[in-house]
Amino acid sequence: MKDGMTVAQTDALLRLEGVKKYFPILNDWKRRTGWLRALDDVTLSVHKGEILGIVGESGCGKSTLGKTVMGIHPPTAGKIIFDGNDITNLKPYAARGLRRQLQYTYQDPGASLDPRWKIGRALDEPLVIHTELNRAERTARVRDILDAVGLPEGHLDLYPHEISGGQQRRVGLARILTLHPSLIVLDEPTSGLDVSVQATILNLFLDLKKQFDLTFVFISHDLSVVRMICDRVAVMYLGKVVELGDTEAVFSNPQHPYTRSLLAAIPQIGKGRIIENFWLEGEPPDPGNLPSGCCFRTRCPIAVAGCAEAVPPLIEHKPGHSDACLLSQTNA
Amino acid sequence: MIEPLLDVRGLEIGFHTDRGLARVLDQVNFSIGKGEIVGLVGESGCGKTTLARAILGVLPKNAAQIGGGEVIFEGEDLLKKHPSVLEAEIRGRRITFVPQDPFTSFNPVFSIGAQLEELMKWKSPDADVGTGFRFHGRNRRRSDRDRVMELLRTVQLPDPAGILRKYPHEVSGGQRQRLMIAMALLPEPRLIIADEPTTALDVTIQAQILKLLRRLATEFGVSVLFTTHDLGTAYEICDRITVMYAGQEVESAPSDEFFAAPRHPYTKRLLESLPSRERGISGIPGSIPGLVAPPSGCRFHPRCDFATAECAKSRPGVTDAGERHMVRCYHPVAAKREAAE
Repeated sequence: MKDGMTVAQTDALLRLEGVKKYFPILNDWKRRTGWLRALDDVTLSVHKGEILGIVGESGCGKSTLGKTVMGIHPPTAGKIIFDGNDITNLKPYAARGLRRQLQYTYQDPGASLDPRWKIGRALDEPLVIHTELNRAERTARVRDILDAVGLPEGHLDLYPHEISGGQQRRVGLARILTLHPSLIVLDEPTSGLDVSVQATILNLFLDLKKQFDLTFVFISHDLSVVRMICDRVAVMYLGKVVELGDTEAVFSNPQHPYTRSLLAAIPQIGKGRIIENFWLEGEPPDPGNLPSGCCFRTRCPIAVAGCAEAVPPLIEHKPGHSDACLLSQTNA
Repeated sequence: MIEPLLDVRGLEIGFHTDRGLARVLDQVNFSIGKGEIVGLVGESGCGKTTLARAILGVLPKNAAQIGGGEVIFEGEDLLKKHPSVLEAEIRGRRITFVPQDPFTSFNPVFSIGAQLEELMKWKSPDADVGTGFRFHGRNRRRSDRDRVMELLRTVQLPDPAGILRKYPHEVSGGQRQRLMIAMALLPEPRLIIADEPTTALDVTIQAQILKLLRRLATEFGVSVLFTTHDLGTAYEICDRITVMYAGQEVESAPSDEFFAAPRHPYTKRLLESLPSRERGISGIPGSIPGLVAPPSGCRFHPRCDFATAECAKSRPGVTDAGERHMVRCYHPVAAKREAAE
């Protein structure tokens, strides 16, 4: 196994095996001129009860990963296994049953709520679709959830534009939680929130996880938030997982040079200023026209000739900590 | 004491809304010294963008109402100047602007070179001030072009000549922000107002842009007003930081002192909201007040742990809390010099 998860495979709630998602690049005449490799051979597992962070810069494929898991994008190749069942290419009716277990929150909760529906109706809808509950039971369930996410009951009669961004996130969560899912993919759940609101939302995630026995896939570009709440973290660069491991191990002892540069770019109050010693130059290459071998080699300060030859595989060289750098592997 | 380049005193601005007058700035004092980078930090809706726009003189005329105060820039009150004078002499010339969103700030139908040329027609340091457009000779065009090329190299854009022929959608976000910084520097301004210039960028690009901005500010000797909601970026680049809450400035201090010993309860809670492994996460209970009928006195008092009756009655005056450290609070937090983490 590529990330050495054979032992832990039994308790993996979700497992991706060599998942690829290529989008065609079309020219002006709608002819395909190439492939954009949004996900390239991603293999990872999500264990029951953990929070797995997916980090990376924009365009690295982290949202595509979440959407592919959800079946919003069918994968080009590879297998997605959820709770022991292959869910890679489900028929629509089978996917509907799965949705109760596997849920996704969109980046912008304001845009994912119908502006003409009151909050109460938005919360009621998933129960109508997925359960056989009658009206009174549904109302009772909605009220329970509303209490759990910390929204006053009066909000049921408000429209989405009448509540704040933080409250919209809470509604988005409540909408999902009414179905009691086991795994939730959170796509940038704190982007666009002020820090003081972000802190309360993060605490809410942790509370709900305990209360409802949830597993989260936490997609974010904010590394300090990821460090704060995730158990394990996968770092992505241009469609590939370049480093995967326990959060503390990855943050305190990053192996891949990309992870190191990403960590060096976070402002840390009270520590050395990044503007004095940040070393990464350049920008990511065009994702439709990637360099050969390791994608990071064009910006990597320690790249050698061997980096251009083959894509370095993700290898676990310490228990629970794998990376895809040729140099760390030859050194080990 | 650094001589102030810009001094905002008691500025009061309201916006007419359906529900009444929203008091967006309430007696705000704020200053920037020569060559200083000052961070204006606060959560969304605290009035930092309004303050930046008021300095530039680009508030919407029909909605904004200036209640009082003065904006003194190089000894002159900008609020008393005629809009056309402001347009010709100050804005885009002595005060320039770097926007938050480099994606929508270029005109998509003109090449970048054409847009830079247009800028230089009006705002080149060699252009005459206040006489409108006049035909200018080959020499001036040549010197302007040299200046543009030199600056594009200074902001570390690869292939400057090639980039002038490109259209805005053909360059990446980081490069567009570099171009914006170059455009802000071309008229040789005294003050650059950068409104959240790195919010739309990735962390590694943000680090590069912050590094660039810091270097250029020192090199060109310009002052920068840097608004941000992110205390981390403010820490990286600013010499001094002013914090605003719901339209009132609450604390202003040199950067190091600010992070080591915050005095205002709001500032302290804001710093504690930053995610940190050691301390856990703590938000600020309650939410930001509406500005149509804001809380009386200090606007933070309903959420403050130390609030007393006095706080609701009147707004605290400016208290000196150290060298160039100002705090507006009746009960400032004791200056405990704990090691900033």
